[in-house]
Amino acid sequence: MKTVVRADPRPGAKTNQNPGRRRPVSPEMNLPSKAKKRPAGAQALRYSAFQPGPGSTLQQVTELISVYTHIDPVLPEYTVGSLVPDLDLLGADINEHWGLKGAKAFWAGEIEATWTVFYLAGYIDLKK
Amino acid sequence: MNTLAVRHWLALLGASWIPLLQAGDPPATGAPERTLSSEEARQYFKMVETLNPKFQGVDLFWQLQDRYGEQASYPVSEVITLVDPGALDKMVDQPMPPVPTGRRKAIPFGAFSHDEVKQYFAVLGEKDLAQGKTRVDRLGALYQKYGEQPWYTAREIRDIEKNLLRTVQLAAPSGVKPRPPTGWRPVFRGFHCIKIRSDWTDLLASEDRSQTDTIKAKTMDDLVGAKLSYSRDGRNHTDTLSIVGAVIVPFTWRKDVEYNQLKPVIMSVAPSVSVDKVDTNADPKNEVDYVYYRVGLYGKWLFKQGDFVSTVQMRAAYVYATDTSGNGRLSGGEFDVEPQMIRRGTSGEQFSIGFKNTLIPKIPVKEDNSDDSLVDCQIRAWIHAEIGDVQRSAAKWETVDGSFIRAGPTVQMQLNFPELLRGVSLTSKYSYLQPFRGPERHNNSLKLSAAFTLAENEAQGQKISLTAEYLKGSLILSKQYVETTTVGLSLIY
Repeated sequence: MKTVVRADPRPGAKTNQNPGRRRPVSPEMNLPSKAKKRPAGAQALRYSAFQPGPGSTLQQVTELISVYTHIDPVLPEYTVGSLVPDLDLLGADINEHWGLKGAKAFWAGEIEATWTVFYLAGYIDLKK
Repeated sequence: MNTLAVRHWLALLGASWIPLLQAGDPPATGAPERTLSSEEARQYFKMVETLNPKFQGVDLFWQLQDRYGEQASYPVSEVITLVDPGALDKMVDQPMPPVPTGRRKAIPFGAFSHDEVKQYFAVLGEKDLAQGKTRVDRLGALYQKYGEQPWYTAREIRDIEKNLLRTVQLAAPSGVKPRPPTGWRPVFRGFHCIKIRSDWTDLLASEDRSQTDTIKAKTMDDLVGAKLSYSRDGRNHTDTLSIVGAVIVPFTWRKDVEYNQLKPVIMSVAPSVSVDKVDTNADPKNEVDYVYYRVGLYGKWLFKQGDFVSTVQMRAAYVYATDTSGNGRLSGGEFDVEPQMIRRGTSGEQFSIGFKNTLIPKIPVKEDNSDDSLVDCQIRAWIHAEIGDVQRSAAKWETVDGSFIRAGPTVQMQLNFPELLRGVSLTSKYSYLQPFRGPERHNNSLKLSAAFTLAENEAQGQKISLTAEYLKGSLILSKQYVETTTVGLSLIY
């Protein structure tokens, strides 16, 4: 597999650190010119295709939130209120995703709009 | 409060106490987190509410109890993060992962060009020198942290201004909220928090969710409150007594959020008694005499089918009106059911009914990401039903006896251009009410409205806006047929 080393963004740094290439790589050259061909039988990435993964709680909750917003990437410092249309829907998704039930389950109104994604991830860890 | 106490609370308000408590760090293993007694927290919040205009009219202690329950003492972190959610965030010197270069040269909406940022940082450098400080190389920090790019986002510029090369390590929660009361406890709590206001609509959305006007939620500044007044006209020797007020007792039950359940995840009941009476010995035409008994209900359910998730909200209200002598009798009710639905997809593919749809996205400039669209629209649809019965009109009422029952759909579409001028909004609303009893004419209603903000200066509270509205059809409840066009210029300076 070919490894491409990205140009060092710092001023004064060499622009080409890839020993396999001769001429400097401009940023424009790395931009895709066309979309990949969709393989036969490939499924679109939807919420239903998203399964619990081995990632951290922060990664998983970020993926849960990402299906509701066009803001990309969803960063840990963003407040959840502006990312999802209804915080109770997000709470229900979290309950379902981590199997939180009974005393551990999120209840209506528990998630606050001003919480950051990072805070929510920590909160889920406390509830699990 | 004595001087010592004031010093104590001023010390708490300042940042100097945080290193003292080492609150930025998680409590050391084995060392219990410092706590404040309930009374200390109450006094602290009282000072914060008095000194900080942002919190005037806000009951922070009540919010603390609402969030963490009624406790004898509270961890310091819970108290201070209520005032400043980022109080326990801390800076760390840790290397950032390399940011790839290669942003397209075209500057997207909401972003700032490289030259704009360079000039801005140059002025900040001049500011450093004018203040006698060492000039900070913000541009170098920007390149090091985010690479040399043709444009930067507001978030990146703010980050450099505030943190330079440091990284903010966000604070993690210290505990979970207590579960909400169940059974009869919300009722006892409701009586504990009786609201006294001007009428039943004089409530925040969180206090009574049965209010049908959900487009613009009220803030504390919008509340009016009850009013009892007496006036005397010395020249004509007339006296006028006026009582306008309502007692409202909202109860709310909250359940675990689960999809496809018959029981609502939130249920609210808000019974109220409102009095509107003007008694005068001058012109009797100026007399008013109403007493309203009202019960507002709200329920919310969550549903899921495949990639589609939805909420269904039910709002209902029953009003019985009479006068203070019990002569009049009028009863009426309204009922709304509104579904909201969204398809969860990959980024940018969501389409919803009831929620905001971003048609043309932009890079947000505001810190809360709320300005993330150039054009957005909201399509709402709900079923509205109304029922009324005027059995006996009181002497001072202007109503016609009779009863009515009608129900039907309402559809509303709103198109917003937040970045055009200073904000343009176009709204169309159509409703049809099928009469089952009562007058059978004029069942349709169409309303088209537009609002333009021509100029706005939030800092100085100045705003010039233009509104236009066309209404054709019958009004709700009274069924009066109208066809009007209204154009208005609003000027706040």
